[in-house]
Amino acid sequence: MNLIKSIDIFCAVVDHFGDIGVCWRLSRQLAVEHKISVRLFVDDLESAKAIIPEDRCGVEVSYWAKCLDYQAAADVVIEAFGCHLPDQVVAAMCAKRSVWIDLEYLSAEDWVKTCHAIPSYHPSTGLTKTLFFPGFEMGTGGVIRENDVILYRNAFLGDRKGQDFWRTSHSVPEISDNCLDISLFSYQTAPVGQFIESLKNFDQPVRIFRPGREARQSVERVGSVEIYDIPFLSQVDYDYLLWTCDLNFVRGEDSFVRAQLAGKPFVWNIYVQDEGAHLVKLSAFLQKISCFYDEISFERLANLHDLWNEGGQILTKQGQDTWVKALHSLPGLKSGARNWSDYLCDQVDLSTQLLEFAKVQITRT
Amino acid sequence: MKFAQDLKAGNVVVMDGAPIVIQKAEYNKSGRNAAVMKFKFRNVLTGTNSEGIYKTDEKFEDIILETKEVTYSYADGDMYVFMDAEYNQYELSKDDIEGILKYLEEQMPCEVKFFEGKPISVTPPVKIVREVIYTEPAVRGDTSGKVMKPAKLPSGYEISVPAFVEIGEKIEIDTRTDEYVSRVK
Repeated sequence: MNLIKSIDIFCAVVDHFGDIGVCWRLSRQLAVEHKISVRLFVDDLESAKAIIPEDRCGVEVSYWAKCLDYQAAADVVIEAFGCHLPDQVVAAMCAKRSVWIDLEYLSAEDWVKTCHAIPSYHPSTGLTKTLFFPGFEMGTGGVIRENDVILYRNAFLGDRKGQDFWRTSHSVPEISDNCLDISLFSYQTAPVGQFIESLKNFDQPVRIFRPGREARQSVERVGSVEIYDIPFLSQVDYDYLLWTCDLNFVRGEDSFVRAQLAGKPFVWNIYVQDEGAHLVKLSAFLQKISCFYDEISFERLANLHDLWNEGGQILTKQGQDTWVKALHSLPGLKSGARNWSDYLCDQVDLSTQLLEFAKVQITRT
Repeated sequence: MKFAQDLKAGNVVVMDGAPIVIQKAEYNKSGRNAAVMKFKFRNVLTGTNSEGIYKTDEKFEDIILETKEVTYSYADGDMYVFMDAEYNQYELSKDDIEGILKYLEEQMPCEVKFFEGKPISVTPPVKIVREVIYTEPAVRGDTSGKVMKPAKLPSGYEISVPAFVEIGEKIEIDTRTDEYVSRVK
C-alpha cells in the first residue's frame, strides 16, 4: 500500500535558478517515478518559467501568493531551504498531521551525517519537523538522481549522430575530435575573463559554450578560443550539453550535481558565503572525491578549484601553469570523474530516501 | 522568546509544556549563509533525553529559573559536585553537564539552575582561558590567522585555533560557540 499519496513542495525563488531548479527536478521525479500527486508552490512564477517546461509531467504548479488559498495539506509537506511556510499552511498541516520536511542545502561536510533526518519537536506548533540533508554518502539524504539518467547518458554518449543532431539544434557546433569543448556556467565571482584570456594560446582549439544567454549569430573569438553564447537550456538539454563536453564549469547545487552524474571532468563555482564558510565546504567536497582520482590528477583538480573560487590570478605564470597542467590531465580527470559518478550511482537517490523516511514517520503517527 | 542560535548548554526552554534543559548545543553553517543548531535535550520532569535539529532562526520559549553562583569542586563517579559560597553542595549527573565537560576544571566558577529546588543544569562563564597542550607546528609564513588547525585542551577536547598558536600558549574561548577568541599573554 502506498502510504504517501500527496506531497506539497514550497519554493521561494531567492536568486538565480538554484532553488527552483532543485524543487522542479524533485517534483518531477516524485510525480513521474513514484506516481505521487505533487503540488509545487512557487513565489515567483515568472522566474520559474525558465526552468519548468510546458509539459509539467503531472505536477501541479501554483503561485505561492501572499493570500494563498490552501485548504487541505498533503501527506508530506516539503519546505525547501527553510523558506518559511505561511501560518495557514502550518495550520492545515497540524489538522492533517502532515510529515514536515525542511529540505536543506547539499554539503560534503562531516557534520551533515550527524544532523540528517532527525525528527525534531517543533516548539511553536507541536508538529515534528525534520531537516533533511542531501549528501554524498550513507547516512545523508543522497543526491537527486532519476532512475534512468545513467542509461540515457550512456546511450547518448554511444550515439555520435544523436549528439551532433542535438548540438546543431541547440546552437552548439558538432563534435570535433580536434577541439576541446568546455561548458561554462558560473557566478560573477569566477575569473571568467582571465580564464578565456589564458586559453588563447592553448595548443588545441578551444570552444566554450555559455548557456543562459541571448543566442548570438556570430561567434566571439579570442585567439584560438571560440565562445558560443547559447540560449537557456531546459534541465534535460543541459544534461546533454554536459555529456558532450570535455570539461564542465558548474555552480551552485543543481548543475553541480548534474556535472557529477555526467561523469566528465568538472570545476565547481561554489556560492560565496560570509567568513569563507564556502571554502570549508569546497574543501570537504574535494576531500571526499580525492580517493577516486590518481594523486597527480587530483592535485591539479584541487588547484583548479582554488583558482576558480578564491579569486586566483590565472594570468600569472603560476596560474597559467595550473590551467595548462589541468587541461593536459583531462584523461586522468575524466577517469576520476567517472569513478566518482559510478560511486554516486551506487547510493540511494534523494527522492527514494525522502519517501522511505516519510513513510516511517506516517507509520509512527 | 529566544532564537535557536542564542541558546546554549544550560539554558532551559519549554517544549510541549515541559521544561527542557539544553545539555549540548552545536552550531553548523549550512548553505547561503544559513546555519543549523543541533541540541541534546533532557526533559526535567521525566528525565528522558532527546535530540533536535533546528534552523538558527527558530524561536523557543525560554524559562528564567532560580540560579546560584557556584564553583566546580570534584567528581564522584558519574556525579559532579558544585559548591556555593555557603559551602552547600549540589550534585549533577554527567548527562546534566555533558555540554560543559570539555571545559570543566577544579574551582571553575559556574552558574547552577534550579527547577523546583532541584539543580538541573550548569552554565560556564561566557569566556574562559585554557592552555593548549598539543597542536601541530605552524606552517612558516602563515600569520594571517585565517588558516585554522586543531589544538588539544587539558580535557582532551579539540578546538580550532589559528595556525600561529603554539603548544603551552593560553587561549581565550567563547563557550557559547566553542570558538577561539584570542591568545592570552
